[in-house]
Amino acid sequence: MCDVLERQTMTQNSLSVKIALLFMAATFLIGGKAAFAGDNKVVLRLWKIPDKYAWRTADKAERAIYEKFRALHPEIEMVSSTGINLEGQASIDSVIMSIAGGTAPHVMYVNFRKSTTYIEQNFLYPLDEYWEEELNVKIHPEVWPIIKQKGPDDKEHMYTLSYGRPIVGALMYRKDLFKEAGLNPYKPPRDWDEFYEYARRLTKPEKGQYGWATEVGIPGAYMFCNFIYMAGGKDGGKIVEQQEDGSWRAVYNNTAGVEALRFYHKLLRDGLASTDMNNWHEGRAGMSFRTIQGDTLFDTNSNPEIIGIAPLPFGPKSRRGGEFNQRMLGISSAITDKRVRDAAWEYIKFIASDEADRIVSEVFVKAGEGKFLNPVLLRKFGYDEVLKEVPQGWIEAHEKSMEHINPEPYGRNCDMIYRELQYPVEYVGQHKDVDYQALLDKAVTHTNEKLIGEIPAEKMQQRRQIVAVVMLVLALVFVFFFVKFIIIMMQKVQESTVVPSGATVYGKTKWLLASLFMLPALLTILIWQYYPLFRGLVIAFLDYRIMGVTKFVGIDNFVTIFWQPEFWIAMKNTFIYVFLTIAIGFFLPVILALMLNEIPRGTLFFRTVYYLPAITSPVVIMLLWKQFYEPSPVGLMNQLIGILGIPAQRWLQSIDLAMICVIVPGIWAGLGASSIIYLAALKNVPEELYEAATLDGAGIFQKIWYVTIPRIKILLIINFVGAFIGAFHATERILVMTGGGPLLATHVIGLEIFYNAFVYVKFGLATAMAWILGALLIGFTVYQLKILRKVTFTTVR
Amino acid sequence: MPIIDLIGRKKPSIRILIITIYLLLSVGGVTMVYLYILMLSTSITTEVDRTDYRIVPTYLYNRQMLLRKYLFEKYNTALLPSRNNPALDEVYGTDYLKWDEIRLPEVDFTDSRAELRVRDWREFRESLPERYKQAGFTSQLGVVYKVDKLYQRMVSDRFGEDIKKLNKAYVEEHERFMTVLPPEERYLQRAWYPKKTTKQQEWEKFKDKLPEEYKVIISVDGLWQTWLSVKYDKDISLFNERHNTNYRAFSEIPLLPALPDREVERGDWIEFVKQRCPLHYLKVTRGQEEYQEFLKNRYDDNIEYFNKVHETSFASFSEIVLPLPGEETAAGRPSSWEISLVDWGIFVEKELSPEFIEVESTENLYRGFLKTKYGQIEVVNGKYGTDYNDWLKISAPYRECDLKDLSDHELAWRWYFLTNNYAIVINYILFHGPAVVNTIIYCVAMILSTLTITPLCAFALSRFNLRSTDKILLFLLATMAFPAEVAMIPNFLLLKELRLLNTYWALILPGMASGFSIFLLKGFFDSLPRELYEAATMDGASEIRMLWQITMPLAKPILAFLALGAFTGAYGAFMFAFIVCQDPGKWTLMVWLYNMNEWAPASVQMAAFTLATVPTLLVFVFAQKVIMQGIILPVEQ
Repeated sequence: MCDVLERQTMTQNSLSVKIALLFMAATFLIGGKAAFAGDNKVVLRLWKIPDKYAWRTADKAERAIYEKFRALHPEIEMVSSTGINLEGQASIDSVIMSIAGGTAPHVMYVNFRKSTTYIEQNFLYPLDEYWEEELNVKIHPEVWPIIKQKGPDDKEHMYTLSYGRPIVGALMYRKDLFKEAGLNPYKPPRDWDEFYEYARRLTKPEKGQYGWATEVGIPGAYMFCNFIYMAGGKDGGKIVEQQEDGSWRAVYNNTAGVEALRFYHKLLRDGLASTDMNNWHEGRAGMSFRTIQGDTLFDTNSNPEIIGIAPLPFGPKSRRGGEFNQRMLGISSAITDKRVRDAAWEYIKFIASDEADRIVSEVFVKAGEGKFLNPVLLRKFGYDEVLKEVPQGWIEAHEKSMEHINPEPYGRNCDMIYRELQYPVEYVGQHKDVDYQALLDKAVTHTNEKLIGEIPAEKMQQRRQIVAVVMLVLALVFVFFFVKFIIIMMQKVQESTVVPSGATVYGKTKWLLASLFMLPALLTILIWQYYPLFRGLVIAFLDYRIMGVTKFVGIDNFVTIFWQPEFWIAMKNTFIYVFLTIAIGFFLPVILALMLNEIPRGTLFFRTVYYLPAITSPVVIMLLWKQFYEPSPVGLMNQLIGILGIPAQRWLQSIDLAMICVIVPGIWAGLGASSIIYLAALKNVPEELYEAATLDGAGIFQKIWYVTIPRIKILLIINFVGAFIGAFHATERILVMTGGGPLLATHVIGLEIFYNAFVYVKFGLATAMAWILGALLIGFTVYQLKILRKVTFTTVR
Repeated sequence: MPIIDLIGRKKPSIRILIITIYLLLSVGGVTMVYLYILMLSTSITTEVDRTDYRIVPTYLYNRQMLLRKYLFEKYNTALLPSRNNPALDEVYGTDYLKWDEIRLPEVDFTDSRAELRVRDWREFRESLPERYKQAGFTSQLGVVYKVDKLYQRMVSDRFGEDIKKLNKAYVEEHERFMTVLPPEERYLQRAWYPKKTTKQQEWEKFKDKLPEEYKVIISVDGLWQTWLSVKYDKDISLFNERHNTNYRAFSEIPLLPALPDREVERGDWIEFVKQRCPLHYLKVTRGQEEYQEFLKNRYDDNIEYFNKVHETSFASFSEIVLPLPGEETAAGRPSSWEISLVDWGIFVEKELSPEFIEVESTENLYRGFLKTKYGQIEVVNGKYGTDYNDWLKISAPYRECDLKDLSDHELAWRWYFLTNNYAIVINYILFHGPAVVNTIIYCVAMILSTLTITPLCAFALSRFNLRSTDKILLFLLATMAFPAEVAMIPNFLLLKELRLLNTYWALILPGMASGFSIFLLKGFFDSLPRELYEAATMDGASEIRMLWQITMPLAKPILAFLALGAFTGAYGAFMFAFIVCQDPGKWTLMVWLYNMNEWAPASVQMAAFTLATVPTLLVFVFAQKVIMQGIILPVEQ
């Protein structure tokens, strides 16, 4: 099916087919590696190969399963797909990026929240043909809706196979701190009132000890969800809900959401909760949430003597709930070779098999950690003797937790649900008085718009109208400047035709020869500059899919952009960035050049010194400075300001300083190179002019103002416009240094385009954004070209 | 020309101005140079002295710093007691919190007595079983230390440099030998027994031949002392009070070889030996029947079940013997030690009578060694110049021996620290990765296209005086009006559809021609004297010859400048190169550097930065003239 679709997209674009033919031969010369190794082995790319030297028993078991599969299938060679982790974007699903880049794993890890996105984007290959086999797997009823989902073809397919036992949320607590606080370590809190009371008694500000620990940002939102589940139970504690028409809506502004947020806020406000998980790891927090992995009932890394585990407490209306999840595997739809697909299926089937369970059990029992295993496994594989060792408390905690479960949100774009939830959660962390309902209503509206794309038809219509007007204006601006541009360019026609020809060839030969000479350049520019431009014009109006069906969406991409807070944050940051770059960086090289011009001796020396950074690649400069910005007290910058008695700063990790920190290295590095050009221009100013000015009694500054500046004015203007436009496009440097963080403090428009395109694979949206940026700048670019057209360039003698 | 005229320069106020300018320039210049010097000097440091930011790293002339760095790598970066590695504090019995607190031990090796003590220790060290030694100088942090290197050389030779053979034999998945690391050793774990895989067996052979100085001796007394100090809240007076002793520090308390006679000492001893002390340092020769009885109970008197869990084939529990650490067995047959360490651990903890336990601590073995060698404690005191009054007071000279090991090869170690970061980077990038090849191909292709496609087109536009010259120029320049981002996404998609992603073409094709360069060059060609061409025409030269022999040589500076731009552009390209080539096999140098930022220690990164700067620096040095000549200035028409 996937092949068909791919072919469809190919034929949609006849031009690309033609070009494809052109380059076909070349591609095969140094093209990508085939999926087969030399000895006829099938190469199977996994998202991660289990670590051979893993120390945790669970990881060892994973490795043992892998090794067994390897032994069973010597014909399959497994490799791991290595990607790059982008700076400051730990939450980004690098798998999606690698799908766009063509390096995605063949076997894809799927969980609840990612499932629908993967399916809608057509990343997963429907497994119906494979599911027809006799499969001896037991699947929890709550997992079925995730395995079997509606595909892009509007029909239901089996997309994944689950493995291992379900994962469920639970409460973990420290027995030692309980004891210290006079609480019974075998009686964990049963409801919210008790939870609050326990937290209060566990909190000891003088020791920096908290009742409950959570995290900030996305992990914090994930942790928070459990409160919603607890407050609403299975039916009420919903974050998203499927509507009758099959679409999904965020509903976390329901009573459960409000109750949860209120309770969470109370914990924080009363100082009982810490958002620093280190407090838990270092034994300064009495309680936190975690998951019971299913295969094991307790984390083998934790000490059962100290850490206790219990079901999440009852919420206010005697309801109870907790996160429910399941590990699943699917097959990438990018595989074109059936052999690879079959191999992928073999692998998945094995991971989900009884044999894999048996290996897990064996590894645990052999390691003497059998008691950590789910009793189901112990019984199944005849380790009944170990059963005696399993603490009754764990079994109870697991059973009780499994009674009240809330599946992790799935549905369209739910992979981003925690990103959305973090905003209200962060908000209450920073404010005293909060209208919970209003806050959540606002957040839900945003989520529905952004993730689910659900905007009331009326409102959408209204927005479309506004955007249509805006775009009309933009289009007019574009056309106006473009026409202006054409006029500027054509003005020269009359002037330059007067230049007589000197060529020795005439007529057809001349044409032929000229065409031959120009063909490579013209072709390159046609294919790699014009074609993308026109295509970009089209893509901006599409919901472009790299796999599956691309749809025409009109101006909706623009509508989405204009009502997306990230876009406006990025815009604001871009303007700040441009302003600061110009304000700090533009005049420094001019001043430097003026100074270099004045000194009688040592110009060459200083020039070389200042030029040093220009010979270093920008990425190296950025990474180098990043080292110097080390936020610990021993970092270079902190040591330097320490001399002046200023306390250590977090530099790139500080919301206030990050932007300036990103800008400084660029200016530092560019200083020498630009000043050299100015210096050359200064040397070209005729001496007589200065002499004349001296005779007129002009001082230094007067000479600079009246003589020097006018002579280098054109250079100043060109550089200014260049720097101005360049600053808008500054993406690479920020990507290297902060990736847009912390908390979007350095998130500029170029990054927003980059992330939307290559990380979230929303090419349509990203292209539309690029056009908006283009519209903002076209006036300047045309002005730039106008000046460039007016001048000729000469080299310095 | 200078703005200030020569006559004006003599005025005092101007002089002050000039001096101020010099001052400002110097301050600015220092910031330029200082950061580069720091990059260089940090690139020859390690985690120990990285944040010193000295222009000349101390260890080059200071032995104490050298020792710190040496110990840092010898003890596999473990200073404070850790679960996996014998930590320096534990072995030395010290309370150092940071590596830079370590002081040179006061020992004079010219004194033959001190020297003898170390020599004896070295002799003892040789005889110590392998389970008391864990390989030092290895790291799991992505950098390679000395022993890793030796090991990699060994396996590389062993498998004839064929990594696939290694993967098969060791059941691993490496792409290059430099990621192959020794198997982990966990002799500090209470119950640990290395699985006798092929890798483990070959490693043991290798480790056997490894010079003793590369191994860390596990101090069992150290484990005991750490355990005690945690138990007594690091308060020695509390310990003394409870035990009616007068130790000055926990590091003075020896672990007795057998159950102490004094009742008050027994509690701690039993607790430590039964619960914490690694089982392979305990010698148990009595209690066989009890053990069998224990197993019988534990496995419900079901020997089949026991056999199933342990993959053994005993006929009855009475066949099972007491595990003996270090026991050698014939190949293929599991040693008593291998069979059920988990059961054994529980038995020792819960059931075994403490009288049956004998502790074979490193220190006790050492004391035994001295006893056999010298017989009387007075003889030892005489030889060593010490004043021990009890064998148990004798401590092992770990510190002195480490210093001696270092000072025997001091120069070599300095050289090692000076070069290791660079060796890591060069190994990583140059010899084992395709990064350099990729970057060279990319740069060369970009330079070549700049030197062919661009001048050809510019020449045609300048020479042939086509009627459509201006329209073509317009065509070449018009796309500049649109932001690069707009074209970038469709470009990526086009590359994807042509299946060119992750190939060199993806890097090269889109940037082969630039309208602006052509425009620039055409302007330059226009300005060349027409007479030259006329003369050539009379000589009957063809257009191609004219381009090759007249135009190109005259345009050398500007062409060189454009080529230089193409080189630096390709060499420094990051985002584009990364987007279109996400496959590590096609990463360029800059992408590798970015990736390195994730795993490499800062000092290794600095070495990488330094190396990455070298090509551009060389180009700058050789092409300085070109850069200066190639500066193009706009002139209004």
